[in-house]
Amino acid sequence: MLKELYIDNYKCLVNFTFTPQNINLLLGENGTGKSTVFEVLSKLKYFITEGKELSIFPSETLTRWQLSPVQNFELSVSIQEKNYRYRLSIEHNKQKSLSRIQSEQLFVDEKPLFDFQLGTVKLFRDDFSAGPEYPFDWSQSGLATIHPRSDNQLLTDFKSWMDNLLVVRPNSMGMDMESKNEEKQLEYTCKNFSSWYRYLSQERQAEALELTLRLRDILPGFHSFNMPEAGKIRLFQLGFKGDNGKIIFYDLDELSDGQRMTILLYALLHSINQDNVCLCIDEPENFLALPEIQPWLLNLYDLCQDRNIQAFLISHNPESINHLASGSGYWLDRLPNSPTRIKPIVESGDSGLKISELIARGWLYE
Amino acid sequence: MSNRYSQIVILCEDTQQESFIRRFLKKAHGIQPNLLIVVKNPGGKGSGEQFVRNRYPHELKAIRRRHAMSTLITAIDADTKERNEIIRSLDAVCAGSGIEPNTDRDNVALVIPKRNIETWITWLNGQPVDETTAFPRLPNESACQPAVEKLYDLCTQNDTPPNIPDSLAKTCIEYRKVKSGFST
Repeated sequence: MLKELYIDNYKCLVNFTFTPQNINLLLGENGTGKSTVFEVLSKLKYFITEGKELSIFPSETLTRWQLSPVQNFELSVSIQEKNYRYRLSIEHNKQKSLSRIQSEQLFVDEKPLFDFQLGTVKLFRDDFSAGPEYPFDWSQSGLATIHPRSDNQLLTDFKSWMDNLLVVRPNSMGMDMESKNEEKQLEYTCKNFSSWYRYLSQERQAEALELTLRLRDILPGFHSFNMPEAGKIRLFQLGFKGDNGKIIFYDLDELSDGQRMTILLYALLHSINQDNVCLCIDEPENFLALPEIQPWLLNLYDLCQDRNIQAFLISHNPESINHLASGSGYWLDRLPNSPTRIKPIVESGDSGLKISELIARGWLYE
Repeated sequence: MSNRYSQIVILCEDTQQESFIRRFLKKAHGIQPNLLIVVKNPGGKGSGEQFVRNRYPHELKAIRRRHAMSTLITAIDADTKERNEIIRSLDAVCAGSGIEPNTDRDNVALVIPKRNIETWITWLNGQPVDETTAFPRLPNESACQPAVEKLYDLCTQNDTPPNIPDSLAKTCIEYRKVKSGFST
């Protein structure tokens, strides 16, 4: 579970600290940094787990009004009752368009597991004894290339947590209906949903079956998924059963945006039904019909309560706001050319207005 | 039963009441979130009772229009009052809105824990309670699950334990009134 996130000198996030709960709803006007928080989490994931180059943090992401060339990121994560702290400092040279890792460190319960500074990696074993030292590329995460071994279980657990961090901003209009192969990671826009579902159906069949059964309750007429071969690819189809019992299969792009979004959101719920998962969804309610929103939120809420699952949502939807903001809501705001501020939403209800109504009027935090 | 539209409306003060009732409906009847709608105090703190009271006549009117196709479960803590006082106050709000108060013909169950829902949870978890003491909130809402399981076990048995809190026993009668409408 993410206990604390610190971001400094990245776009509008300056000395920004967020201490989340197990379910979190980020609210605020446009341009206040909500999606930027998700952007950083997503980049850190791919930087640490897939070895993405430092270029995913270009110097253009330095805060415009700050003079410092250094960006700092810090994650505090609780995994199996151990407290991990990951720190990354990136130094940019705008004139030369160069960036380098100033330091990258991982601690568990304040003891070092990994230390990458000035181009040298120092590893520590699970018993915190010093391990190998070696030079490493300044433009890549030193953690990304470390493979699981019997003496680095702690470090591996942290990387697994990062791997289970799922950050998406679904665009149901941009989903591919074709799949070339199975893909374990769902892209930020969910463009590769078909290939990701194909992975689920092959590698996590129990969850895929549960999803099918669940969607039969949710989507009128839905019967099953189908992925027939079409040359070198597979098509993603969904079968719907009519009153006469006949099943007709439709390509994904024949469904409405709302139907595609519903399927995606429930697929996400079933995919995260395992411990130590963190799910971040930017505006999940886009395209959903009103009766679909609360049931999905209740399902997510129950998952977060019953399993060791953490969720972050960004929303402008009144239904989500009124259901979650009290107790799980955080308000982000900022003045022009000034950093983002964040605070928990504390609303007594004495105003007689719903929180969504207060936000719509600009009265929540005048 | 249609799988698309809300069959059950849960009108309640807070997330703990919501969680307790939803978990019981899921345990006892397999009811998933797509079959219900939760209407709870959006402020979440302090004014839950007033929220339920204000909203109750409108929900009652709406349920009647659905001609027995939906059920209204209304949860409101008795606190230091008696159950009958709460019912009279709900009836008075209805009368003030020009709506006939709840009768046996309505698909309405009144869940009125005394002193509050935590009293029931504490008792169901095997600890002695009285209905005047305010018991502390749970660390999180899902911690009520063992109490829900125990309540389900009690509901499947015919004999009522002699030390059951009076407000819970009366709510069990309300439950029997509406439970036939919960079959999925």
